[in-house]
Amino acid sequence: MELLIFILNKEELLNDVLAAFVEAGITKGTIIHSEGMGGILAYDIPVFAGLRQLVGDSKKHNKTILTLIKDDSVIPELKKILLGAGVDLSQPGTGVLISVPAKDVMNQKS
Amino acid sequence: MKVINFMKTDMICLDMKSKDKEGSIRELGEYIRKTGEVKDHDKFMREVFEREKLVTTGIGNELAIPHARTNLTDKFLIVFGRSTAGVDFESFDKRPAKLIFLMAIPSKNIDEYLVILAHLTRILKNEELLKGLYSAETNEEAIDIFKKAEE
Repeated sequence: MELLIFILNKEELLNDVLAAFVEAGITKGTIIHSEGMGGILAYDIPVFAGLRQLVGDSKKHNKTILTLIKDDSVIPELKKILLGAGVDLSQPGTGVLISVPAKDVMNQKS
Repeated sequence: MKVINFMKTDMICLDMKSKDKEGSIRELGEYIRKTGEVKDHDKFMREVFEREKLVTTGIGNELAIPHARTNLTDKFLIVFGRSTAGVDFESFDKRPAKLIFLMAIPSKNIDEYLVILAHLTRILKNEELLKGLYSAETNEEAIDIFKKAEE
């Protein structure tokens, strides 16, 4: 079992990303409304306000998708579908996809 | 990163004369000018004031950390000033700033900028350090107090 973490900075691509997940066979997951550390540092902690020049005029939010997959064999296909849907993770500011082993999973199926 | 590695006895002013925020920044800025490490001092001062316009660097508890990320120097520079009367830094707790740290931080390394600010704000919560800085009678003593706090 693997935990797939997708941090999507371009929130406008969320529908495309979710559709790609479904197409790749990933039909369950949790979507968290999240925000980058830089935005919080720059706008919520005054001493770091100098960072605003770097992070822009306002806090930037993103979406974090968490999902469990049986193994990582689905990832190449997911990447291919994402790219076809215009979600190119090699482009700056798009997002990041991470998969890590999920050692212990306890849910209704376990 | 330890701030003590960058503190120098000739970059400390234990009897600041300025009565206001701008004056105190300029007063400490003179120490940076004297190092000759900043290419355009007036521009650096403008950068510090621009940063100050975003949100005050008066972080409360009688502390202020005016600073600028700048391309005008490759070296991290820090000046420590102490004002017995205190200076209105528009701090959140309305208390005048008595311990003021002016910093020039090379903009080439954003991580270093964050590390320095985070480290300084953390160690300045150390009551022993603050007591020592309030009571230091010489620049050397102030340096020793900082060194001890960062051990």
